[in-house]
Amino acid sequence: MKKRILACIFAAATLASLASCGNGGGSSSSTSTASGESGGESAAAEVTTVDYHYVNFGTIAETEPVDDVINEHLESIGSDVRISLHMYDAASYNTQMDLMISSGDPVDLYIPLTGVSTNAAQGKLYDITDIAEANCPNALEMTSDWLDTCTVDGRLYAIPVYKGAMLQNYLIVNKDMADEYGIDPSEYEGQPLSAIEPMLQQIHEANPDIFPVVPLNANAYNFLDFFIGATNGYKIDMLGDRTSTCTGCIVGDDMTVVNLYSTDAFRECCELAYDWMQKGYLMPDTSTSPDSASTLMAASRGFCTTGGYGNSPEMMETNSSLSGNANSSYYVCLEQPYMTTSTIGVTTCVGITSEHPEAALRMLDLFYTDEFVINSILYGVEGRDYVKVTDQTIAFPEGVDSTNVSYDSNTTCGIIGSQFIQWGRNVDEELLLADREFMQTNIDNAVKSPAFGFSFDATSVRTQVSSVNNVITQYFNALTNGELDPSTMIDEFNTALEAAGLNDIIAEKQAQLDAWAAAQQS
Amino acid sequence: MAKAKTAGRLQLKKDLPLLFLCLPGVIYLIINNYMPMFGLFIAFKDINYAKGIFGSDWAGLKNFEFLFATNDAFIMIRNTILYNIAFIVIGTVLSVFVAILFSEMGANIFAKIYQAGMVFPNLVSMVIVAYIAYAFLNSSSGFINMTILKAFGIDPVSWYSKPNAWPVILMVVYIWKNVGYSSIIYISNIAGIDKGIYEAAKIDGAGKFRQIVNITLPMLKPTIVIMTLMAVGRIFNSDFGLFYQVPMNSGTLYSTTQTIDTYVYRALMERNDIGMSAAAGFLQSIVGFVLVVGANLLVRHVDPDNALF
Repeated sequence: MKKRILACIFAAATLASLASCGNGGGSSSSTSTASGESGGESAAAEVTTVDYHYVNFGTIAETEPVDDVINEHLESIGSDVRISLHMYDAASYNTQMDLMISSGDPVDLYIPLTGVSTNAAQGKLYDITDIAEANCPNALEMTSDWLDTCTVDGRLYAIPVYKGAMLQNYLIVNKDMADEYGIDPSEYEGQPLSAIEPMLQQIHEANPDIFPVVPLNANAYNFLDFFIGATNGYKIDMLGDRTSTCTGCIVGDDMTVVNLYSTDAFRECCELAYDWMQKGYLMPDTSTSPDSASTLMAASRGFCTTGGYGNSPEMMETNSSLSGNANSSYYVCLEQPYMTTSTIGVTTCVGITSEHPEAALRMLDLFYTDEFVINSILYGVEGRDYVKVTDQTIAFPEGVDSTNVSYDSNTTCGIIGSQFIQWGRNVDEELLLADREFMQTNIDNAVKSPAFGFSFDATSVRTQVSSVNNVITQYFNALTNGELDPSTMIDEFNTALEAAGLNDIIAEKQAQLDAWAAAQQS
Repeated sequence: MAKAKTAGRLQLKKDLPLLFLCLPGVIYLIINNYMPMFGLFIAFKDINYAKGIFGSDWAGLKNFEFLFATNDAFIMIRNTILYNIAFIVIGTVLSVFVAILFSEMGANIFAKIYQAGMVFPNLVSMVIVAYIAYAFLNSSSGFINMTILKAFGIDPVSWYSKPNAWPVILMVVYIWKNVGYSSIIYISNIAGIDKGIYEAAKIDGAGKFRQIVNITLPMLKPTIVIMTLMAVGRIFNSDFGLFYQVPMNSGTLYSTTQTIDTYVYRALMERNDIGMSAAAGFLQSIVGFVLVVGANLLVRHVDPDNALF
């Protein structure tokens, strides 16, 4: 009897698990037929609905009304694709995408935030090499210079977002305070970061309660960006990594992979931060303090900060409310960035589980060419969420603002399609057009790394990458925030990195880079 | 033999309604705890999303390597186990102590207020706890530095870069957050003890302390053993919020705050590698299982009545 009950339970469990598998495999068919309701059309055209999964850094909103207005527009222009939007919170996005793809749910278009090469190695991306030309010619043409960054072993897996990707490294100063102390930050334009020291000294001596420099985002200064750039920096290409995760970089034109944290750039950065910390120019305990520039500068507790933005200084000054409200900060460009594979970080790709990759690419092409489609995704429904002011600018409707708007995905602007057809909210049209020109000039004139386009596949050394990442998180912030003495701690940091297997990663990176360079030449 | 079988069948018939009662629980366990176990495969696979879980290549023990690749491995395993042992010992002693105090207070309004106050921290999210701790510890405006140490004329201490202070800080935070809640189970146990026993002891001239040592504690022993066994099973797991949020992710504190869970989180955040995460979870479960069985063996050896199985 007991055995029989047990058998029943197991049978039930097996059935249940089979049933759940069945659900995963047999996805809902998303191909439908548009009936010619308008009467004029006789032949019903076959249309395909494309699922677009994207990130919103703000409030998660209902997307159906936006689907409807976009699809109405698509029908009116005679397109054979329809869209279904799926919005996710940034914190859960990667996990959600992994879950959907691993359980076989169709993912037509998504943003591989963990990098194209990693995602391709894990088999999550659809190889679009052969179908891209026919289905998204405009997107391909626009981003043709950047496509190398999405290519793995000669195969194309994604299309880069076309935007002002060259982030200028800005010095951002509280205007009221600068005027009060008679400081003109514009004299530092184009200078290295260390040149601003006299200004910091003046502030510190005048009022020791003010932090002369505060971090833009809590817990970390981004000073290292100023040492790896193209004008005053060492022209360092991190080969697809970021400053806080770098497992090997190249310096200048030398194609030898070296450890970023043993370079002069890193040492100088840490020495500067340590020196400034000793002199009282930096905020103590930055690594653990939850305070950042937006609160400190608005409260006149912080004098200046540093950060990278793609937009022009005029645009930033108009839009930024870092020091309390608009037009209350000076933006001075100190350092031009260096164009590397890391610069083109954001791409859109077709998931391996997509049932109609061609239609997905036709949809993607519209993100680069169709103003209405992309701006509806960003700003929602006209009349309800925004009103047009001029041809290229919009505003909130009467009685609506950022706190009560039904749909607003404005923060998605940098990770979708082309930034050059996106409308501006509450800005002057002239300023917007000038800003586009500024970004265009910067990407056209960018200084490119010799390894631009190379991306590293870390699969074979992932054990070492995990260990190395742990060592980096242990030392990186404390060193670059000036909390540890670089004269002893940089050596300790590098010893720990080597013990964690950094040299294995560098050797693997060098081998892949050499193979890539050889393939480029032939 | 036949008689035994009939008796068994009768017994089953009698118990059937009761067994039926536990059906929802059993179904929940199967769906939530047993079916996902097939995911253990992932720990041994080199996952390729195109090939699926079963189609992916076997990776052997490669996914486990990163846990033991560096000398961090020693630190994180040591921290996890030592913190848990300390939590089990000190946590249990304090919970029982608090439970006895509460039951001695009797059922008046103050007892209810204090009890609610003790349980409240358990309902607070670790993120908020981290900021409460920060309000005490930060070096420019923290309560400890600016009020307590100042009163004694001691210079402010930068707590977030003093690894040696953190075993104590984490212990205090853990006790503040958990003791009230875990004492509930002991309070209810004490309430269930036959009052007659205490009466008899009183008549025999036993004082309050005598009663506690000779009646309350022995009666609580089975519960303490079960609670400890369950805690021992999770000795390889750590409270992620406590070890990640409360030290504010400060790199200099890793030597005393890094545990297996925080290590796995930090190491894999960049790559979203489900194979390696599954491997870490698998290892924690196996060690937990071995420890529970081992601890139970020990209990059965010393005191067969209190063993779990």
